[in-house]
Amino acid sequence: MEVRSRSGRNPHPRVVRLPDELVAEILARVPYRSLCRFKLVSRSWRGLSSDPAVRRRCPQTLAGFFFTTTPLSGPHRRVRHFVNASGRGAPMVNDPSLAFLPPGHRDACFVDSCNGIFLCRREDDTPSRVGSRYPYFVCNPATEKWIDLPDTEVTSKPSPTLRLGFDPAVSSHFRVFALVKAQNPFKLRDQVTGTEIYSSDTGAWTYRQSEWGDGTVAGCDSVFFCGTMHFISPGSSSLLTVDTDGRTWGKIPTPRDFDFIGVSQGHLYAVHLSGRGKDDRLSIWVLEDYAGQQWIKKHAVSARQMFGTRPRSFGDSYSFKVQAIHPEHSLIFLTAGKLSSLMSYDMDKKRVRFIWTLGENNEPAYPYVPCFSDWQLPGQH
Amino acid sequence: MASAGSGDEKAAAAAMITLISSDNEKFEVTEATATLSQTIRHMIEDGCTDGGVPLPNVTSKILARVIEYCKKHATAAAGEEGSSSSFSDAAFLEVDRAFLEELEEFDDAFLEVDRATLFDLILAANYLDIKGLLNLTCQKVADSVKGKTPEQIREMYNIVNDLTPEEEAEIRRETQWAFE
Repeated sequence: MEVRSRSGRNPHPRVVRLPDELVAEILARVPYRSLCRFKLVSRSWRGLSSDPAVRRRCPQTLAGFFFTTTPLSGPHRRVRHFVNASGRGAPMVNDPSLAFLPPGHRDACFVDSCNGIFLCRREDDTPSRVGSRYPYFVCNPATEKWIDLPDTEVTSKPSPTLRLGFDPAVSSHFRVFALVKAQNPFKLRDQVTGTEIYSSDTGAWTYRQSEWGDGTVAGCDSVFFCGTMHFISPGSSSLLTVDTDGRTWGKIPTPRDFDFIGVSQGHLYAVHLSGRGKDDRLSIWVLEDYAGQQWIKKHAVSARQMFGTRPRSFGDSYSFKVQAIHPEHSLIFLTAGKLSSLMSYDMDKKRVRFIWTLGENNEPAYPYVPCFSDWQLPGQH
Repeated sequence: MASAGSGDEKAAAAAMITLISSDNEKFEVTEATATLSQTIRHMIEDGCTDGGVPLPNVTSKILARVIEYCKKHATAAAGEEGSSSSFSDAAFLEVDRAFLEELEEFDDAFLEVDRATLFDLILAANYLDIKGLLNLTCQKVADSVKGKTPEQIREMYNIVNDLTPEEEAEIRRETQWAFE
């Protein structure tokens, strides 16, 4: 990489050349998409752009979504797909089947995603394999690594709540939170009595008793933010928080019951859905001051405002479901209708854009921000 | 508190370092300014700065710019220390924010140079190990190349395409999404 500059009457241009280590410094600062394109510049640029050290530092953004469909016939129970966040072009993930995984792991379903890594559950476990099942594992499609999680009491129960916490900017280790629940005589949902936490640092599960109080119920949605797992808690007008060591438990009061929480532009965002079946409405809130616990209503919009007065293409109801929020832009991703049409809603421009039809099975779309940082195996530092 | 602080500043101001450019021009700077460079900081710690610090890789034109950057950012670093010790009220935070904005404006103006000078600054920042300056200048180049096509990059930076058509086809196949 060099620049020639002609100055004054000198016929010979001055040449300033950067050595490869400094070209690498520049390439580590371009968006990942540009980095991939720059492989085509020359052999030396191809080498620098493929260098794990450069890729690891390169700024990443929301690339798109993984989702699955269930074909009526064929050898696989489910087929995994990838669609770019733009809805256009060749998928950024060439092989969404995750062929780097061993066969028994490939058919697994995603349970949670966090900053580029996925918590998965194998569905090939049969009673005959009891004793060495390890149904859960965590994988990274960018580095093609995966790690089986040891069994624990919670993971052997039917439909446990497991959540993944990973922030490569803070730590190369991830955590998995498995909520321990007990039947709650007065409510439909079980109350949380504690959590088991798996740390990829120690490779083991640790139990911590809940300090959220009796009768606390955790909802399905959660987000990992500031080294703390945040759960929605239906009917309690609060978010539940627990840190990565299970030592600090807390609650953040919320103005409404939220249906979705996520992180965008360094802030916690939450979405409340109302008017279901008639005029679906989204209200979007932001916790601008995390310490002060003050929520601000950022935006509100109804299905009619989004789509006009001809909503029939979605059937009787939109059945909105918020799938993700863009990490840097004012975009909410949601599915609507019987066929789960994935679309983005731009809160600033107030515009809807169709992305993809996910299909009838109504499974979630898992947002994917590639992460080339290697996590360390248990015991490594 | 205040008098002790100004005393320290006087002591720092007294310690001057002489930097000597490749074309033998001498620059007198305070130690606070010079130690933004890790390379010079280590030389001071090793006590080998008497008689000036020769910098054979940096011309006077570029060294003058680097010193300009270091002076501004050394003041900023001193300001930050002050804010954490004794001031915490809203008025001071307001001043702090204004100063950060001023620093940002300074950086933007500082980067208004031709491409050859920008490369010279990157080389100097790397040689002198000034993290902030290296980050600022590399980010400036990164921002200017990120939207460009491989052809435009080759043309801008005199790079010869030595990939075979087969290699090109393979890269395109692997990274098709990045070209759309």
